[in-house]
Amino acid sequence: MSAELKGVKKVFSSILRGRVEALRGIDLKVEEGEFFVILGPSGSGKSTLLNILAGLEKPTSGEVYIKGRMVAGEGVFLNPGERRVAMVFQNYALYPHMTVRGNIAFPLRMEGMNKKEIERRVREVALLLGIEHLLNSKPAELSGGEKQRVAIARALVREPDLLLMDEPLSNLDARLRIKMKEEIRKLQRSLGLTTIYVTHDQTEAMTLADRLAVMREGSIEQMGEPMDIYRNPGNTFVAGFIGNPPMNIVKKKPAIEEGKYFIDFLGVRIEVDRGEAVYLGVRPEDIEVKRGGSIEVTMIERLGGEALIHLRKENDKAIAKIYGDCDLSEGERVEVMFKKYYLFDS
Amino acid sequence: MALSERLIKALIMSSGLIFVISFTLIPIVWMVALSLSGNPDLLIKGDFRMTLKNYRDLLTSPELHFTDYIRNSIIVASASASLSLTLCVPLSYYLSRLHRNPTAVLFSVLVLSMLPPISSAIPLYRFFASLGLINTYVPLIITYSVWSIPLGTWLIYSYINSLPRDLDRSALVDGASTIKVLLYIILPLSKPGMLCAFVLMFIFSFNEFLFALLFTIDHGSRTVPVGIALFEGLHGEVPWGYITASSLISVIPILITVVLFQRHIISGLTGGGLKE
Amino acid sequence: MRKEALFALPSFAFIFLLLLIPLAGTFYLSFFRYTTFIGKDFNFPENYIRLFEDPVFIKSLLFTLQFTILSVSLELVSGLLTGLIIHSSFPGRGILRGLVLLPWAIPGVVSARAWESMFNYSYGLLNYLTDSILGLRINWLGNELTALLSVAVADLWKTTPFVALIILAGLQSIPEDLYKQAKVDGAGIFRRFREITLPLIGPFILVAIVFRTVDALRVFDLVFVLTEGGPGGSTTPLSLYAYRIYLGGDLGYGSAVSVSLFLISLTVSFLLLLISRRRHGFE
Repeated sequence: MSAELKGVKKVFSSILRGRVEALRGIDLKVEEGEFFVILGPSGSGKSTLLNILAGLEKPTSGEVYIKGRMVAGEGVFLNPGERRVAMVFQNYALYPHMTVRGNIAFPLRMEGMNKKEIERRVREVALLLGIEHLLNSKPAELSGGEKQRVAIARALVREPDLLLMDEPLSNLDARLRIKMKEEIRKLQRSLGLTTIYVTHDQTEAMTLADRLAVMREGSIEQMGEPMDIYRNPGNTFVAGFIGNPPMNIVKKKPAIEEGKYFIDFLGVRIEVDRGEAVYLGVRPEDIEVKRGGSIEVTMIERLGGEALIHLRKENDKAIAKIYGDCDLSEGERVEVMFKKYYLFDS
Repeated sequence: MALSERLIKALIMSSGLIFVISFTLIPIVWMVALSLSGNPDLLIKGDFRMTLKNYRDLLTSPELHFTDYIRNSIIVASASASLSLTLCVPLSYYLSRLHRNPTAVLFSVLVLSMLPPISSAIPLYRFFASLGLINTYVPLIITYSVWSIPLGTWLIYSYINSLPRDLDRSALVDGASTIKVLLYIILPLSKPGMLCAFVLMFIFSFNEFLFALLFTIDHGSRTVPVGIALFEGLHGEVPWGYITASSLISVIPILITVVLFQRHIISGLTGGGLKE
Repeated sequence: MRKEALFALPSFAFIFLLLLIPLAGTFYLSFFRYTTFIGKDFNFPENYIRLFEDPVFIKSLLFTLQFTILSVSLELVSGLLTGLIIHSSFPGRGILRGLVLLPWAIPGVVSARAWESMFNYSYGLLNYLTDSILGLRINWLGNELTALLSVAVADLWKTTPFVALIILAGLQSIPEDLYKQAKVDGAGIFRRFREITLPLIGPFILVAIVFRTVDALRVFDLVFVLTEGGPGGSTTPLSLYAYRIYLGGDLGYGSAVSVSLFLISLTVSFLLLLISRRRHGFE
């Protein structure tokens, strides 16, 4: 077990907002060598969770273990420097007054390592990340991607037990983001480094994660392998958060017919087992569209390899995604079929 | 419309400019004239005979003690500004990074700086007198450094507070203790803020009058402002030449710092402490 | 206490030992009849009753308040004007900013001496001007009204830059787009000043008022040099009055005067801070 949280709670009390529960009892286990992603919107508590793992914040209650060692708990609190963790920040947090060499060497200097050994290790990690030619530059002279590499090098140089990454890609442009995403994944695999990665971007989460946890308002809503969560979302929040474009979700009150309960969406009848209102979810890629019928095509977004079709029938609205060329046009009438749909209580 | 508006603006601006410049400069020019004149009634008699005698006397004749005052002032002001800086920096760091409610503390400190010095002067005087320190540099250096804390803390606090917190969080994760974060990260990065604070605290101490008047007796520790205030003529008349010349000389260090650090001072004062 | 508080300890210790304890000491002294040669005995509230019966104190109090109100209002006007000027861009602005700062940075004693020489009856610049234009000589520092005005003008010269700096900070905080928008909306220059500039620098003006008021209340060096408190004690601020009493050896009564000045300053600064906080959420 590389990192574990047991019943971790964090309560902030502020004058302006009163008592805020940032974490409401988190239980979490991250396995050795795993790439674990915490996904959630801003304010979901994901950064607080990361800070608690790093030791930058103290949990209000609960226990935190890193490599089997208790780092926070009843009467125990290890400072960040004593935890053998490394962290990559959203803005890289490179020390602007030090050279790249100084930045990477900093954690080793704090350990009191001798100069020769520091230089050897700095070179080694710089080589690994392909930044050895930048060692004498100052952070201000670097491009975004180079800064990112330096930040990662600084995190790796201590050979940490646990690597924490706080939205490290959000400041890069789209193309660089894809490239760095790939590199981070490769590097993590080859080093076998246990990594906890926080993001609000579901694509990043899906592509990077061995396992991921979806957080909302201080609680973990669902945890598991990305495709499992994609296929079997536990509630509307997770369902709406994973997948792009997001799942179409509507709240429907069933109608009774011959003792059975039915709901109707875009003219499709679905049987449900109870009379209470339920949430129906259909992924855009699970909607099949055919010409003819009573649904109006209100808009078509052609994205190249795929197209998003906006549909409306009376009060029902949905987006369908079809692959390949789309020969429909706006204003046309269509009918739909659902390859798969989900029913949620909440 | 646009033209007349521009005209109005230009009129206001240029008349204001002329007023501001002349109001600022006339007393200074007048002092320069007096200091260069052999006699103070240069306008009445209309005979202005340019002489550097006043300056020469001040800088060369030991019985005027002016060079002593200058030396005392520079020693006292630099020592107190340095001492105050070493007090303010850890406090500012503490307030910015480790304290829950820094504004409350800053406000209390600010209120302290607004107190009239006279209301703490006599007990202080008695304290320093009991230690036999009156007429030494010590009481001035210590008192000024205390009175500089509010100004220095506001400036340095707002500077430190503008540095990204992720830098120190990163350093903490990298294994630095809070004191090492201060030494290796915050201190090197807040040099400009510290410089601005140092300059302003130096100016404050250089200019201070009341404590200097109370705690000094003669040229052994007397500072420039007291010296200028207490200049007496030999025969009862006011020695305007010496007074204006010494005033102008004492302005020189200030003038140099203000010119050198004008940008720092303005940005420190306007961008700092008064942030909305 | 957490060990991090050690960072704050040195400065708090200095403030406590060398500012607050002496302040308490002044309160303590004010409860005694205490003159240098006779010794001390407790006589509270004698010293405070004496304040109200002392015409010199009343006069000094009145001067302090008059001077504060007069100089602060003058400084606001000139500071606003100067701030507007050094905010707008023109060639040589950097030099002008440095120049305008100068009176604020030089010792108060020097500015007092400068104005003393300007106001001098026989060979001052001002009387030279009034004499040659109006054929009239005024004893600026010799009668009560002009002495008050003279002190206020000298203070105005010295502290306008400070007010201007704060106003400048306020002006720099206003986004240029607001003016563009207002121009598009057809607001003229005076209207823009009234509707945008003034309300937005309001908090800064309040800050300037706070700082200047408490500073004017404790004025000392300016009058010490310029008028020496005269004529007839009409320009003696409380600081100077307390100093004089101390000099005469009456530590108890001098402390009572100091305490009264302290209480006035404290009340005024609290009131002003409260107003500015409520009005603008100033921090």
